[in-house]
Amino acid sequence: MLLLALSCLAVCIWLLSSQLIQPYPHQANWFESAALFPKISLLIMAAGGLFEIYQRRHQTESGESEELDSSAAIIHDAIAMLLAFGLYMVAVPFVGYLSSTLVFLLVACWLLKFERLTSLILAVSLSFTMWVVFVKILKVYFGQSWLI
Amino acid sequence: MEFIDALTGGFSSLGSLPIAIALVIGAALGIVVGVLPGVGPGVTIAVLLPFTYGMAPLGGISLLLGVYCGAFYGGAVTSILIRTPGEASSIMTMFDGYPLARQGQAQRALSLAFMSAFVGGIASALLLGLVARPMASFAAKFGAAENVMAILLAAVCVGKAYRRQFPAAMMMMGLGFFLATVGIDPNSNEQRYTFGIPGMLSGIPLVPVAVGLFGMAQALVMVSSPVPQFDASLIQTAGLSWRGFLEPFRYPKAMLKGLFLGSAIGVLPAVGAALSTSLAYFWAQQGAKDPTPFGQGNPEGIVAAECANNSNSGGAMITVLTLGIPGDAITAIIMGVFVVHGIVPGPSLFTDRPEIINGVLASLLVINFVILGLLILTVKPLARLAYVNPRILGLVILVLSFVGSYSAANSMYYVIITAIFGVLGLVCARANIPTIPLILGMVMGDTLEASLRQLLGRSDGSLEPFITRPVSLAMLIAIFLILFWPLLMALTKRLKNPNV
Repeated sequence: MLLLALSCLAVCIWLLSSQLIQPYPHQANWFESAALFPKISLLIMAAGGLFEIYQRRHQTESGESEELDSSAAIIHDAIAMLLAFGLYMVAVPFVGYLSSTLVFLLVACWLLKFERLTSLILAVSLSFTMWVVFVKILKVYFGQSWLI
Repeated sequence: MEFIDALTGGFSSLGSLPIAIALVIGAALGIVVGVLPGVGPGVTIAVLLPFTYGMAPLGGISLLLGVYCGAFYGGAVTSILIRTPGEASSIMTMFDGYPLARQGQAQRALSLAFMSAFVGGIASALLLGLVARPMASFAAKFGAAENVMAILLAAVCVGKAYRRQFPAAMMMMGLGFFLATVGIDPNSNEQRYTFGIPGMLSGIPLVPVAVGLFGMAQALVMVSSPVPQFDASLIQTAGLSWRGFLEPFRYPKAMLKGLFLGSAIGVLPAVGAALSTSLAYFWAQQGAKDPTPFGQGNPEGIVAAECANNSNSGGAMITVLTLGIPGDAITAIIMGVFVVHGIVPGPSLFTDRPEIINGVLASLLVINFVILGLLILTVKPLARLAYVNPRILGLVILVLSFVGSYSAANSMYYVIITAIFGVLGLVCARANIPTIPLILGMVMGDTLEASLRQLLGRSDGSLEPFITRPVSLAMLIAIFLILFWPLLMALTKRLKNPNV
């Protein structure tokens, strides 16, 4: 499904290139065009994806990637964590880095069903350390916010 | 003589306190992440990359090289003591290391592994020093045609390294090439695929993509996976023995086999340490001196595997420094430090910024000594890190991914890119699609496009220079052979025996 989606995306972008490159070089020679390389890249992407789909359908065993192994991951937990991370991203500029990190870690620990004491120690120590290191020492500026 | 001068120059570059501190911190972090469950050097280097912005280029590179090399050593600890290799390249060490530890010889196994890795690391750094300069002189003669072919050859090698996933790897490589083109075209000033988003005018930055694909995706997998169970009874026995340290030198054949394969395979794009360790392990079985069967605690198995494992680092840096082509995701991210500081890796680096080349060489040598020293001092408490809950580590990586990508440009745009690529990394992992080619494509895309347009512009759109220039033609033939070798073999077989 993902392979098909990525291949279709590549084809769509390829077709829409004349609108997505501004201003589109209609008068330029093909070999001087700014669209040449992106179009070749999209072609490789689409062809690769379609070949992979074909190969997976006609192969008894699929090739195993030696990269990140997510076979044991519980996808609902990952989605919940992603949502929490999304809210964290939104909250930081408004609420402040320290408070948002503290709340995010408490929520994450609750999602992961950690013990209360572990959650509290982890959330307080980690958020405070990060705040001291990045905001106070490295002077990373997260903008004006309601809290710290 | 030139080599000695380079080395002396490199050591003097490392004399600066911030660079020396970065090197030691990198080495220590590398060892720690090698031992920690689920955290590899890729994640750590990706998360650390934004923090190298404010450092001197050599300081940033030394920090990341320290992590890269340290993780090779650290991975042996968990392979030997809890039968859980931190990295795919440590699997072969586990085959004989764990049985030795079970026989009450954990200290011997760890000492064997560390000293073999040390020899591998030193040899590969020396190889880098000896080979890089002549190779760069050769690469300096490359024109646009050779540059295009070298990158295409690397891309095909990367794809082929994924064997049956070759089309998927090429798809991701294509995506990486495409992402490298987003933003304002430097030649014509046209806006390409920016969707009217101001942040995208300067392109899609490598740092948040790397942090998302490797840091955040890994963190999401770690927090959503059950905590792995292991037999921790041997962790208490961690330690080192001087006899074990000297033992690898009793097996020079196994050592040389590991060194040869590790260095040679390290140069090849994307093939990586895992293949070199397994080949070295199986090669060491032939004509082994020790009568103990392999898989039951033969020291030569550990020596060959660890020598091959750690001798990859120098080999992998050769192509980065001489051609500007990274061999794997880690060297691609390390190359990101060069890019961030406006340094162009490739043959010109040897004349423009020799202090960087010499510094990298000296760093690789010093890092191995620092790591060995740290291991001697800390191996006992270090082994206890295996107890750390990977879910807690996942949370730490998530929070670091956020602040790391934000601080790279003090911009939420970077965090959004991190989150998008974190999700992509997770989804790709579920769908068994490799993501490393995407990063490699992004890193090589700019050079590939620039060289291709330069060549086509000069030849009025003719592709002839690809076949009229000998080196380019040789690389083109190599690409065809790599792509169509199985087909050619099948055809030859059929011609020889028409009944098949």
